[in-house]
Amino acid sequence: MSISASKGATTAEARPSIFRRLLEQRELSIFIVVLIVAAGLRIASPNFLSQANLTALVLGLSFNAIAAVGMTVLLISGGFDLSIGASLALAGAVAGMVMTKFGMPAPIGILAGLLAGAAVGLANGLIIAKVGVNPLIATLGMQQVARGIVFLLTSGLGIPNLPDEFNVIAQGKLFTLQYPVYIMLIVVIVGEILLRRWRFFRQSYFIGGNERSARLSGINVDRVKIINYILMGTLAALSGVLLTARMGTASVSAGLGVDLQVISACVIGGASLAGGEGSVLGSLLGVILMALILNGLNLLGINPYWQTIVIGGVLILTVAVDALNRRRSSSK
Amino acid sequence: MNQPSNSLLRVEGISKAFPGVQALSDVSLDVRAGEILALVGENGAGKSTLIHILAGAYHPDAGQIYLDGREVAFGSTQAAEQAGVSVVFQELSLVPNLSVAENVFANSQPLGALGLIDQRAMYARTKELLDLFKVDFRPNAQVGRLSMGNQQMVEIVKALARNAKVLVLDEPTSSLTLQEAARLFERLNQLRGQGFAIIYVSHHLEEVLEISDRVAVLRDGKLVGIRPTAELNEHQIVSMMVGRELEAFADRGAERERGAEAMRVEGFSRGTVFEGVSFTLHEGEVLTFFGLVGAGRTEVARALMGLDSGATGAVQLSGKPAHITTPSAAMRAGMAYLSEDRKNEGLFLDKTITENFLAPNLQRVSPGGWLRWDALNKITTHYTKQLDVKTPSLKQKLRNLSGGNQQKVFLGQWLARDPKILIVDEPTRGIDVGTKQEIHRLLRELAAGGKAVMVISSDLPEALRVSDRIAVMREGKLVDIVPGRGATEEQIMALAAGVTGAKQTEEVRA
Repeated sequence: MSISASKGATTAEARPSIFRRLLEQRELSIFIVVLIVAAGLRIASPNFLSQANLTALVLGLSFNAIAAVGMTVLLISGGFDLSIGASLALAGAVAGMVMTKFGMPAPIGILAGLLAGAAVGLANGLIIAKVGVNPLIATLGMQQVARGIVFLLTSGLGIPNLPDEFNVIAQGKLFTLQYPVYIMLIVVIVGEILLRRWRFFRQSYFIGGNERSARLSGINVDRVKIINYILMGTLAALSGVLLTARMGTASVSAGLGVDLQVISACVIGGASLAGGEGSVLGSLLGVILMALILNGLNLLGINPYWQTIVIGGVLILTVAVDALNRRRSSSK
Repeated sequence: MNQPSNSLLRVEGISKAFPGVQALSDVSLDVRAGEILALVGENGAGKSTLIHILAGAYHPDAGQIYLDGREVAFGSTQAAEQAGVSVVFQELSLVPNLSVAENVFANSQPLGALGLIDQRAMYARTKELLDLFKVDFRPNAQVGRLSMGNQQMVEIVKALARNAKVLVLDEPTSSLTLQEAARLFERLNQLRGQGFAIIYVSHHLEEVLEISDRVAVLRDGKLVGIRPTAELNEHQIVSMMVGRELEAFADRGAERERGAEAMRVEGFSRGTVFEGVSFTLHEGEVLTFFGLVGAGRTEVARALMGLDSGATGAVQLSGKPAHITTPSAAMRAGMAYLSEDRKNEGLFLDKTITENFLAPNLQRVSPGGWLRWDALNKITTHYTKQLDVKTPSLKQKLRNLSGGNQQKVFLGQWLARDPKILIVDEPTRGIDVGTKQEIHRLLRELAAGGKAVMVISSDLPEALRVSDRIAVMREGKLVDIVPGRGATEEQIMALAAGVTGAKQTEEVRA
């Protein structure tokens, strides 16, 4: 009850420019951190700016960035998905099976892989929205189930020697960059635009902000949640199909640990585990920051066992800074 | 008549203000050992504030509290309990998954060797208390599986386990069946006989007359009087509760013709929450549902909006049968519902004013699915201006606005949908006096502009002030609908509290 009477409602506000929005939001601060880390790496390692390193870096982060788009939407709506690593592996295995065992052409294999991921998402969505199981538990269980199916389908061995017509989707190049980079850019740009401007995706902000209010505002909460999980599963599968094509092999251990990496990246990028906040651009910057740090550790020849420690530290630091800011602003 | 010498608990000159409200001013009363003092008053009369002060949850701005003749200051609820004052709030504080004994001794478990909880002693002590209280459940029963009446008993036993000398009960029968209430009264009589001092807060005047020794009446934060129960009847208590001069309401406007029928509800029931509710709501009128807390008014509105399922009965909107099962269907049918709990059900406190306007207006500002910020900014600006929302910017987070301004945003975002039927639940709860009048005027204007306005209010002066008609509910039933003009507080309160004479069939309490 602290507001002092002022001149009344402000008059017509122009739509804030992208620049102003950036200034006010999380994205700019992460962008600055990304630049600082990049500059540091430029100084520390002459190899950082080499074409080979940069193309490998960009390709490498594309897989996580695609999944991060789905995760961002999910986190905004107050959801959560720990099964994306398993969905990713499942999509690769299903695509591989369809092509090698049943001799289907690559497009059918890709489609089957994407559908497998969508199915996992649908199952998650139904269990969470309709049955009311906590997302953490539901997707943790689904992680085990989906990973188990991968082992069953491939007898625990994975599927090697995938056809070239399939592998080309991740190994083919356009202007020195592999196709997955372009696919990632399309997913990110479309995701960013849809999340800002498309009615359906705006609803997620309200659901994550206050689910009961959202329901009373006429939002079909269950439907939005289910569709968000399907989207998440499908994007995880897209990432999985591309990763599989990149390797030429469907691996049973593909995507291990990806769940937490992607969630961490989104949270670093400003998404809140409590829901209601986040943006695709922020999450992309989070993915880039994590990729840069890992890349730096490699370039500097630091023991790879440090990688997870550093990533974990960065995550905690980001969230801690955020929590401190919040405490300060709410106590004024 | 005041005998401070044998009063166990005495408060003197207690005052407490909240922003915009003087909740209590200069209240003095006492309760004696072996006495049940009933505390009554309208909603908002200050009962709740007084209880919270006794519980140590609020600190009075002025005044003293004496326990056993010694002045005490309760810095916290723990301090109050330690001193021997225990408050059993309407919302119970039990942990449903734990046993009765674990609940009774929450945080005060008897300790044995090594500082571990002495389970045996805890259960034995609970058993003693339960036996003393003649209840038929066991110390190891899971609390969540007990009936509401028995849970209430556990709460009282919990207070006794802390050596309470003064027991304050806030609406203890609100969720009890008649039989459970009767048993509760037996126990309270027993406690009175054992020398406890009991403060009994209730809306139900029959109960008050039955159980209490004296009645203290609060009105507008002031003590109207304390009288021995034997000298009072229900009508006298009611007139003490409402005895204010009716304030004139200048903006009421001329009597108008009612417009077309916007909604007709017939035989609307949901379990025992509300039963057989029938009414019509017309364009151009304000129909206020008045009743005591728990009378079922909000539940009727929620069922109409498709928020709670399981209601039976017929609903017609503008003469056509309607079957509404979701809030979005209700919205499409031209209905808008503003919940009484605007913070948890309606608004998004961590979002800006503009974003809050977006929530119920998503369809409207996104033709073809694409969000149009300019359209959104336009309606936000328009309605915040019209309702005179005080804020430095439309990008202010709602959390930073006052309750009154939040309520204006809430109204504005729904008015932007141009609903035919507007249902507003407790439109001015927790709102400062100035904004309250603005909102009353607005509700009248909306009706004058042709909207069908249904208000749910527990604030009697408000109901009399804004309503064309007042529908009074009591214990899930619509008791009567009376014209707002000419209605008196006594008349409405008597209907709401069931003081209409002895023809009621359900008077089985003895």
